[in-house]
Amino acid sequence: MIMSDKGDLVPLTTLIPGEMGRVAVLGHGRGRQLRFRTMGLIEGRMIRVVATQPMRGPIVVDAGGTQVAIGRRMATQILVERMG
Amino acid sequence: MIANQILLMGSPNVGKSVVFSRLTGVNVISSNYPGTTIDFTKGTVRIGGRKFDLIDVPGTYSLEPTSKAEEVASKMLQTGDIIINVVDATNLERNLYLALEILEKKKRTIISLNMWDETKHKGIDIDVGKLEELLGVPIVPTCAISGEGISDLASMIEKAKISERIRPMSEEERWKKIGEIIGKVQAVRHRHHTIWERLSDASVNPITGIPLAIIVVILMFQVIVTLGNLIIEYVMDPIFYNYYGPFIMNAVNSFAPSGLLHDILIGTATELNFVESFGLLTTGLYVPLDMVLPFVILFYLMLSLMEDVGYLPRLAVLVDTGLHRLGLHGSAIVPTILGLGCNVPGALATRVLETKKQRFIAATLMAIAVPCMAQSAMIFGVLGKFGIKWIIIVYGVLFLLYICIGLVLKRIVGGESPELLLEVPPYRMPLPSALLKKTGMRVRGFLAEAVPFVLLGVFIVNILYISGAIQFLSDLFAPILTTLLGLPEGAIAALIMGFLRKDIAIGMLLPLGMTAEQLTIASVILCTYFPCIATFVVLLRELGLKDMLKATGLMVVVSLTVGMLMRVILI
Repeated sequence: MIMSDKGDLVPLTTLIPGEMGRVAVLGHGRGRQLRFRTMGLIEGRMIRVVATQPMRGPIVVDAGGTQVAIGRRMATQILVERMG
Repeated sequence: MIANQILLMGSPNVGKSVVFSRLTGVNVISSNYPGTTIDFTKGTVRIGGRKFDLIDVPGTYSLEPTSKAEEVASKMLQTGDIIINVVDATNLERNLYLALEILEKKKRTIISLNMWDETKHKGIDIDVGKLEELLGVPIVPTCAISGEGISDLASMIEKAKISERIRPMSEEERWKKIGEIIGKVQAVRHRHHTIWERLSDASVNPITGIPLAIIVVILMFQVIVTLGNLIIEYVMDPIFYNYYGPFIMNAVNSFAPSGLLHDILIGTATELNFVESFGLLTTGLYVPLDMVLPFVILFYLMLSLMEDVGYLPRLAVLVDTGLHRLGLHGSAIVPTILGLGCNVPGALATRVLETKKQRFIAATLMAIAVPCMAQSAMIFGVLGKFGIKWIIIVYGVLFLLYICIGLVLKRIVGGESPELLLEVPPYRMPLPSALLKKTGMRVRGFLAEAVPFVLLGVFIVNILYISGAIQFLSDLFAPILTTLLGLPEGAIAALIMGFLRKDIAIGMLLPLGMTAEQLTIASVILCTYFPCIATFVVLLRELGLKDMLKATGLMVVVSLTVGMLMRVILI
C-alpha cells in the first residue's frame, strides 16, 4: 500500500479543475469498484480533475490518459490524497 | 457443415465493431460512444477456405456480471471455440483486466492489439514479443480504422491457443499481475498535450464547453437546412418537375386516362401537383425523396461526423445536470439525438441507459417530443412560408413538453435513476470513407423504412377516401377536432396517416387551406399523439405491453391537452 497517512484523504469532489490527486479509497460495492478500476481509477494512481459541471453536475477526471465522467454523488465516495 | 464459432470480445470503445466489419465485410454501425453495441452481431469470416461464424460480443470491462452487457458476454464466452480479444493499445493496463479474465477461462485466444498507430503519437512503447511471452497467446498489432494488420490477424486466427502462462486468480492478484506485466512491456515517454487533448479538456469545461456545444448545434442545423434547401432547389426539384413529372403524367394518362387506377396513381387533378395530388407515383414519391431525403442525408452525415469525432460523450457530460432533473442522465442525449433523425434507432438507443425507469422515461419523452427528420423537414416545408415564428413555436412547445413531462415522470415512475459514469474517449480524426459508409447505411435504412410505409399510407388513405370512410370519420371526430382543437374536420385524414408516417401526414394538411395557427397546432398534435407504427412496434418490444400502454395513454392525454391549450392561446 502506498498510502501511509490516511488523515489527508479528501473526497474527489473537493478537488478543483487542474488539481491532481492519488486514488486511495473507492468507497463503493465490489462491482462498482471493479468498474472504476477498469476505467483507470485504480488505487495508488494519480488522477487529474479536468472539469466539474455546475449545479452538482458530474466531475470529469483524467486517469492515465482516459477521461471518465462521474456523477457527483458517486464521486464523493472516492477518496483521494490531494497532490496539488 | 458446422462452422467453428469465433467470438470477438473487448472493452467498450476499443474499435471492436470496426475489427468485426473488417473481418467479415459486414457493415455494422460503430461509434465513438461507449456501449454502442448492445445486441450481438453475427457474421462469417473465411480463412483458408474454411468458414467460421464470427460474433461481435457486447463490449464489457470485465466478465463479472455487474451489468446486462457483462452477463451476456460471460454467458457467450462459454459457447466460443476461439476468442479474439480486442485490446486498446493506448490503454493497455486497464484492458489487460478483461484479457486476463478471458485467458483464465482456458479458451483458444488471440489478441488484437488495436489502435496500434496511436501509441506512437501518445509516446507509448509496447514490447509485443515480451507481452506475447507473458500472456502465452499470439498478439497481432492492428489498426482497424485503416485496415492495417487485419489480414495478419485473419491469417493468425487458427494459431490461437490456450494460455499456459495465465492461471485463474482473484481480483487483487489480477491487478498485481497487470502491474507486473505493464512494468515489463510498456514504457511511456513524456510528451506535450496535443491540440486534440486541449480541445477535449475545453469541451467538457462548462465555461468553454457550453458555448462550444451551442455553436456545434447551430452549425449542424445551419448546414442541414441551407445545404438541404440547395439540393432540393438545384437537384431534386428540377429532376421531379422537368423530367419525372411530365413523364409519369404522360405514361399514366396513356393507359389510364381517368378512373380509379388513374386517381390512385397520380391523383384526381389534371395538372401536375406533387404535394397535393396524393397519388402513389406523385406525392408518394415526391414527399420522401424530394422534400425529406436531402435533409435526412445531411442529418446523418452530421450525426456520423459528431459520433466519429467523439463529440457525443462530451455533450452527454454537459447536459447531464439537466437530464438528471428529468430522471435521466447524460447518456439519454444519445436516443434523443438519434430520434431527431428517426425515432426507430432512437428507441433502440434507449438501451444505453441502465435502469427500466430511465429507459421508460427516455423512450416516452422521445416518442412524444422528439420529431424525426422526415417530420421536421415537412414542418419546415409547410410552416416555413408563414415565417420562422411558427416553427419556433412548434419546437418551443415540444421542448417544454420534454422538460415538463420528464419532471413529472421522474417523480411518478418507480425505480432507480442512477448517476452518470461514462468514459469520455479521446477525440479522433474521422476517416472519410468510414463516415460515408456509415451515412450510406443509415440513409438506406431510412429509405427501406420510409418509402414502403409512405406508399402503403397513400394507398390506404386513397381507399379510405374513395370508400367514404374518411367522410364518416370526419363527421364522427368533428366535435373534438373543430370545437376542442380548432382544426378543420378534414384534418382527421392526416391524423389517420400519422399512425403510419408523420412526414406525409403533415403534407396532407396543406390542401386543407389552414391558417398558420391551425397548422402550428396540427403539427404539434401530429408529433405528440402517437409515434409512427414502426417506432410503436420497436417500443412495444423494448418496453413491453404494459409500459407501452401507459406511454400511449400519456401521449393521447398530452396531445389533447396541449392542443386545447394552444388553441386557447393562439386562436
